[in-house]
This record gives sequence, C-alpha cells and structure tokens, in this order.
Amino acid sequence: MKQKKENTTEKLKIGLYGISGCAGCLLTVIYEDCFTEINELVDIKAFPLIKEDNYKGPLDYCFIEGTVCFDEDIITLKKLRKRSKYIVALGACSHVGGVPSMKNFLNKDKVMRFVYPKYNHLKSTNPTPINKHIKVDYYLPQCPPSKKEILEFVQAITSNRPFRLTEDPVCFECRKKGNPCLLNQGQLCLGPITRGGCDALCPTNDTICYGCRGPCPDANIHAFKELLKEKGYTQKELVAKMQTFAGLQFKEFEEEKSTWLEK
Amino acid sequence: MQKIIKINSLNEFLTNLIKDYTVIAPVKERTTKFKAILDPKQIYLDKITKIPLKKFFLPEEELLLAFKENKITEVRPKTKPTIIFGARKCDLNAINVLDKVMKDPNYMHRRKNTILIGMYCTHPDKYCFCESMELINFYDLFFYPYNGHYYISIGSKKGEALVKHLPSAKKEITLKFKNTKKIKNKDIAADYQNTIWETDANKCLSCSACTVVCPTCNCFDIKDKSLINKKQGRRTRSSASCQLKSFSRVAGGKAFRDSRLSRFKHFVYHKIVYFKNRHKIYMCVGCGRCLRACPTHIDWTKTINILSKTKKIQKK
Amino acid sequence: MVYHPQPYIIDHVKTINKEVKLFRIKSDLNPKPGQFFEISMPGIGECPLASCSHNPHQIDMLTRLAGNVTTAFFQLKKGDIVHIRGPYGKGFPLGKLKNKNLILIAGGTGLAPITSLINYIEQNRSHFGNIIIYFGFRNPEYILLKDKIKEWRKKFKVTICLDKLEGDKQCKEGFVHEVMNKAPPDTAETIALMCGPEIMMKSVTQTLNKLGLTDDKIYWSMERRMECAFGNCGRCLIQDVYVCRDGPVFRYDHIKPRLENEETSNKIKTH
Repeated sequence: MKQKKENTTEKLKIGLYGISGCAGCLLTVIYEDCFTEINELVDIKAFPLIKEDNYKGPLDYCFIEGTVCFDEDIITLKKLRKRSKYIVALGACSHVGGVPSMKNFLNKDKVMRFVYPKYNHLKSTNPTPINKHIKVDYYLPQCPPSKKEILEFVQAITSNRPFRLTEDPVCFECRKKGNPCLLNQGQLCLGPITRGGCDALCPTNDTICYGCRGPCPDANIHAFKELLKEKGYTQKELVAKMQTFAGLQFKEFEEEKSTWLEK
Repeated sequence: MQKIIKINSLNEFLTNLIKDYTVIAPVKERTTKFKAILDPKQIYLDKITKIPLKKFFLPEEELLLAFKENKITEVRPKTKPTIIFGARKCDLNAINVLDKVMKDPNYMHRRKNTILIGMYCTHPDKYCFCESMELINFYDLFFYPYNGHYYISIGSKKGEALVKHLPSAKKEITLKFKNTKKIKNKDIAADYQNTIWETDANKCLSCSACTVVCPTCNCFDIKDKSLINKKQGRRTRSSASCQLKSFSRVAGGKAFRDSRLSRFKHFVYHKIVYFKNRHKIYMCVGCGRCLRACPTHIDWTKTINILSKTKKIQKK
Repeated sequence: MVYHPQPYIIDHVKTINKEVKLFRIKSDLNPKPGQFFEISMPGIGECPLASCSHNPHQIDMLTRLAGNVTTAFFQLKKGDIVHIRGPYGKGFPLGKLKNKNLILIAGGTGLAPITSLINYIEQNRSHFGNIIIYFGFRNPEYILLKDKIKEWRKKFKVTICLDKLEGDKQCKEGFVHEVMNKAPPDTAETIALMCGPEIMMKSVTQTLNKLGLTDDKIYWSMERRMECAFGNCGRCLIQDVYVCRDGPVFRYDHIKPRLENEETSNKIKTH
C-alpha cells in the first residue's frame, strides 16, 4: 500500500544529464512514446538537453550519459553524485566507456593530430566510464540504450522492484530469433561473450555484434579466442573488435578484476 | 495398406490440402525452417532444417494468462487445423518425446489440431546419427519415394482420411533408413565423473545454441509483465536454456548448476540417460542439429564413442 | 487450467519479524503434509511456498522476504485476495512413517513443511511412536512460531538450537548436529525427516549416520528453483529427478548420489 501512495502523491525526482558524449542516449529518452510514458511515472525535474530552466535541488535518480574525457567532467559528476540518491549510467559510454574509450589503446598524439590540425590547447584525458570516478548504482547499457530497458527500469524503480540486467549472452536471444550464426558464416561476431538484453538487434540485421553492452558475466573468452585462432583470425583483429565499445571492460574481465559485473 | 501417388502429382495433392488446412513445411529463407506455406513450390526438402519443428508447438513467447484489475483469464492459442508436411523421421520422433513431457494445455491444444505427415529422408549428412537413437514409427502419414511414386504408409485414422481418395498400392514399399554416424555404447550413466567431459566443457561458450535448435529441448521460463501505469499485465512462457547460468539461479542468488561443466553434462545426460530412465526412450533423436549449430564444434557423440573405446581397452 | 491460479481470501496476517510473516488463507485445498503451492502475484510472478499446517479449511504460509514476489505478497493484508495454484509435490511418505519413532529437524523457514507434518502427527497421535523435534535458528529473535513450539514442548521432546544463545535459557547453543552429538537421540525403529538449508541437512545427516541411522531412513525436503511446479519447465531437475513432481521430499539415499555428482562437477573449474 505504501507503494501506491508514492505513485500518486509524490513522484520520484529524476534528472537527466550528459557529460562528454553525442547526446544520442538522451535523445533515445525523448524519442517516440518513451518520454511521455516516463513522464507519467516520474517527475523529470532536470533535463538540460531540452529544458532551459532546470531544478537544482536533490534528485532521487540521476541518469548520466557520456564518458569522462575532461577534468571538468569529473567535477560535474561529483556534483551530481552529491545531489542524487542513485546514479544511473545511461548508455554504453557511461557504462563501459563506449567509442571514445578506444583512445586508451591508441597513441594519443597520433590520434589528436589525425583529428585536429592544432591540438595544443586541448586538455583531454584518457576517456573512462563514470564508475571509475563515482559510485554507480544502476547501468542501462547499449549504444544507444534500448527503449524497452529504459521503460523496464523506470517501472521497476516506481514499483519498488529490483532491477537486474540479464546475464545471458547475446547468442541466446539471437538463436531464439532463428538468425543464422554469423560466426559460423566466418564473421567475427562478439555475440558469445557479450551481455544480452538487446534482442540481438545487430545480428538480426546481418551485422556482427560489437560488444557494446560489455562482457557477459559468464563469457568463456578463452574458448572464444581459441575458436578465432582456428578460424584464422589474429589476436589483433579480435582485440580491435573488442575495443570498439567496451575495450576497457573486456580487458578488465580477462584480468578478472571486474567486480561490478555481477550486478 | 499403403496408398500410392505419383511424384509429380504431389503438388496437386498439397494444393488441395492448403485449401482446408494450414500447411507447415520446411522452407528455405534466411535460414531453413518450418513455416506455413501457400504454394507447394516453396517446400525445401534437400537438407534438414536448421530451426526445429518444436517452434510451431512451443513458440518463443506464448501468452498464458492475461490480468486486468484483479481478474485473471486464461488465454488459448487460436489455431486452424494444421498439417505438418515433410517432417523427417527425427523430427517426428521429437514430437513423440515432447508429447511425453509436455502436459501444458496450449501445447496439447496445438497437438490435437495437427496432422503429421513424414517424408523419407534421402540426405542424411555427416552430423546425423538417428540410426543410433532407436527411433520408432510415429506419424499420421509417411511418404516413401520409390520408382516415380510416393508410397504412403498410414499411421492413424486422422491420416487415413486425407488419402482416402488415392489408389492403394499393390505392393508395400518401405525403405530402410540410410546409414548415419553411430554412437556405439550409449550406457554412460557410470561415466558422469569422467574427466573426458572437461575437454568439451572447456570449449563451450555457453551460448545456448545447442538447446535452442534441439527439437526436444523444452525447458521454459514463466515471466510476468505489467503494462506501465495500468493495472493490466500478462504472464508469458518463453523458452529457456540449461546452458545458461541464470537458468538454475534461485532468489537468493545461488546458481545450482554453477560450472560450465555441470551445465554441459546436464544437457548430454538429460538427452541420453535421464529421460530414458523415466520414459524408456531417448530424448535425443539424433538429428545432429546441436552439432551443426555449435560455434566451437563440440561433438559430444564423439566423446561418448571415445569413452566406450577406452572402456573396452580397460576391460582387456 | 494448470497455469490458472484461483483467488482466495487472506484471513489473517501475523508479522513474526522483519523478514518473516505468517499468512492464513481460507481454502479447501487440503494439502498433504509437505506439499507446496505456487503463490501468484499478477504482473510480478510466482513463487513456491509450502503450507505449514494440516487443516482442510485453511492454508498457513510462513513466508520469508526473498524476491519480487514475496515483497509484493508482504504488502497484502487481511481481507485481500491472493491467487494460488496447487497443491503440488508428493509430500511426506506418511504410509512409511506409521508406527515408527520420528526425529524431525527444521532449520529457519524450513520449519514450514515440518510444521504441517507435526500437525498431522498431533491429529493422528496413535499412529506414531516417540517424536523428537529439533529446531535450528540464528538467535532468539529468529525463533518462529513461538506459541506453537510452546504447545509442542508439552507433547513432544523439543530442542531448540541457536547459533547464538544470547541468554536464552530454554534453548541450546550450537548447530543442530552439534547439539545432537552432545546428547544423542535414540535411533531404534526411527525415521528422520528434515527441511532447511542444504548445508545444515548434510551435517545433520552425517551425525545421524554416526548414530546408526542409515541413509534410507532419512528424508530431505528440498528446495530448488521451480516455475511450473508440475515437471514441465525443467528448472528444478537434480540430474534426472524433478523436485516439484518427484519431491519435494526425497529419501536421502535416493537423492545423495545425484547431489554429490552435481556438487563435484560444480567444483571443477573450466574456462
């Protein structure tokens, strides 16, 4: 009964913020009917992307999109952490580092010279996911996050239910859909080692899985590597694929350092 | 008594059936699967389908109950009388296996509404091992191609009614099933602790492909969904896989089949030993789909053969 | 019909502690001791719960807060409607217990099925010999069904074992098997039945073995993840036995090799 009261009288206060990133994840929230449904369930107090006048007080849940690329991002994050009860990492960038985190594995100077003719005034650091700087309570992975999962999450928090990501690999959903296996066709698909929950969006559309949802907690990377070796791929090719989105996490996973995975 | 039909009048026979029934037959699209057909020309019989027949009886997601306020109503699938055409002997035996386990009303409803027509398998491939799995004759009708004709064996009254108008065959023709790969000694109950399984388990990616494409794997999950901000919801059944850790995880967080090894062995032993103990038939029908689908090419039939070989050596 | 739960009215709710509540539900389902039900929370899910009484007109459910379903169940009050399907499982082998001495052991909320058996024994006292009961709880705060235990103390030989005594004089300190070791019960013509965490049941069984009770005279009431409860979904399989359909009560010599097999292969690390 306590639940109901919360729903009708006082909605949860939500903020949606972005740090360095493409704002695609925040756009997903606005996209289609997703926004109206969320708005019905919770009180969207702050959303700088679409609102000029934003609430500055304490929040219940704060969704953060983007990677930490500058020192300013860390300051923003720490401020948001102080203001909110729970932090939700929204999208692949804040969850696993996303595409920007690729820079961790490349020559920094070379990369910057490639993009900008003059880069001496730029003060960027190595991009890292937000959980390297602040405590994160929930993750909504994928690039961009799935509408289904966002709605599920909002529904869970408003009805006092725990929210858990699936621990099954992408392959499970892909096979259930009846897709022909891309690995068996000779493509380097990361499905077997990637956390599912995306309804195998990419393989269903004949595109390999790039592992944007990070490693699956039960992944057998060792066997996967052996398989690719057999198929004639080099270690470098595999690593390059893994580094597209979640290079940092796959690396940590292999070193068995990732403690947050069980969430 | 067998009935007989010319091979080139099969299409006419099927076109007549399509008028009154939903006809499900193997087709080749992005992948090979069983699908409702409108034209007999769509049928593809050259290779065994990648997606098993069970998908028709146990859809990936099936509505069981619908909730509204505090009322619960049961949902029954709506199906027209259906004919399954072109199923191989392994596919048909898989249905026999499912009949033994599934006591689920939606499954039984679909089964009652279905007529099974089998087709003699002319192309077993290197993964097939049906010969070892003691398959039985399980069909309403079964087609044997011979000398420009199909000789039709009748397995039930339901089937007989479909071929009443066809002439009877003067001579019975049943073809022997072609040689396939063999599992020599299937008595592996005592070898559960054998370390040989670890080699296979080490190669396993736990991707669940084997269980999804298995024609007899029937484990499922019951999930509830409530529509956002409304007092409505539904309870659905979707297929699950014993190869995933989440399958045996309980509310407290513990997974009872925690290691890849115990999950892998559960699959093999369920197919070869456990089911046989209870129902006197093998759960595995030897279609080889799991071997074909496995990305790391784990061949547990080979492992069983190695086991029996080592046992023989030990005896000597 | 198999998935369709029926509505029943909650007659009484008693809060025992933060984690445990006792629900009394009016029903004429009349479960056998040791059988269980699936509690259904529309839109949230189902969860298996054993009945802890033996009464043709009511079901008592001792519920521990564990997941989504029990959280929702806890919010129900007297007069609310709850949906239930069942009863499922075979329950305790009552025929085999006739004219025997019994040792009953319950740990934590494993008390529920054992309670239904004690109820049955109370109603048919002449069918049974000596009854010895052991309860295991964490500390005095966690003792469940205090009133009932008080009643049973008058009729049977009841021992309460607490992990931490915290000054409780009526109880004994230590795990059940430790207490049992110190003051061994008589095991002649006896059958032992137990329910609780698997680790507890294992150590108690080992102790009973030492006291001369063989595995075929010991029964375990098991718990596994169950979804359909009638042997279709395959979740609760322990090798080749379904906990829901063949159990949840198993003769220990029947289930032991299966549990050992699974346990040993769980310990072997693969990649």
